[in-house]
Amino acid sequence: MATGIGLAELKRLLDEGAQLVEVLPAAEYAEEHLPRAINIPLKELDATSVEPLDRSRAVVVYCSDGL
Amino acid sequence: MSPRAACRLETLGFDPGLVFDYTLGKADWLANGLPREGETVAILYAGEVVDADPPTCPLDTPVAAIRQTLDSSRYGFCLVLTADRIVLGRVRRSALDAAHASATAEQVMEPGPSTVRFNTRAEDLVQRLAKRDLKTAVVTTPSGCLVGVFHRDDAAARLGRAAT
Repeated sequence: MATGIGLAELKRLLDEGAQLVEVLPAAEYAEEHLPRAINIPLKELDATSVEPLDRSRAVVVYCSDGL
Repeated sequence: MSPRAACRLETLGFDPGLVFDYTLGKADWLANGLPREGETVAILYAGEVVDADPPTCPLDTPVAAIRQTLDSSRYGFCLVLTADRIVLGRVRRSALDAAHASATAEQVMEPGPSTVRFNTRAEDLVQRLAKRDLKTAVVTTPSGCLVGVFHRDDAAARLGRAAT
């Protein structure tokens, strides 16, 4: 199970070059998202859609409120 | 949703030690007043139109000092904060008149005043305040740290300018 993190840890990881992925639907991502986040909706998360991600670097996923 | 996404990344072969879930998500980020991108960035949030420097004091402030602060201020209240700016209470000017000279902020404050989040839409908050005939709202981060005081009239004027 992935490590759950809070805001302070997120900022630290971003400073270290972590990749940020919003997994909400595209319309919600288009409305507003965290700077530099890319969008891979949960329903589209598969081997192809994750190809842009660098597997050697940290990946932080987020949605609206974790639910 | 994000816990399942993190799990899915691991099943796709990502190193579990490099996969993290920001559990509080976008709601937490925005409520902390951090930068955002997207189609709605032009929409004003309450936290973007606050007075970030309202009258404040620590718990042990004598009422005489609070009175002096308010006498030179547009405010009818002083917010009582911890050293790390968590909002504990509010001292209204009216409470000072009845207070003993040796009283402190802690003794005359109203504990736990209502607050709103940074990312409340300013337009919505103007309407909510108007409905209740209120002029201000205290804006805090999710952890209760003071962002500032939202003034209904100031925000309405700014929204009006933005619309023209």
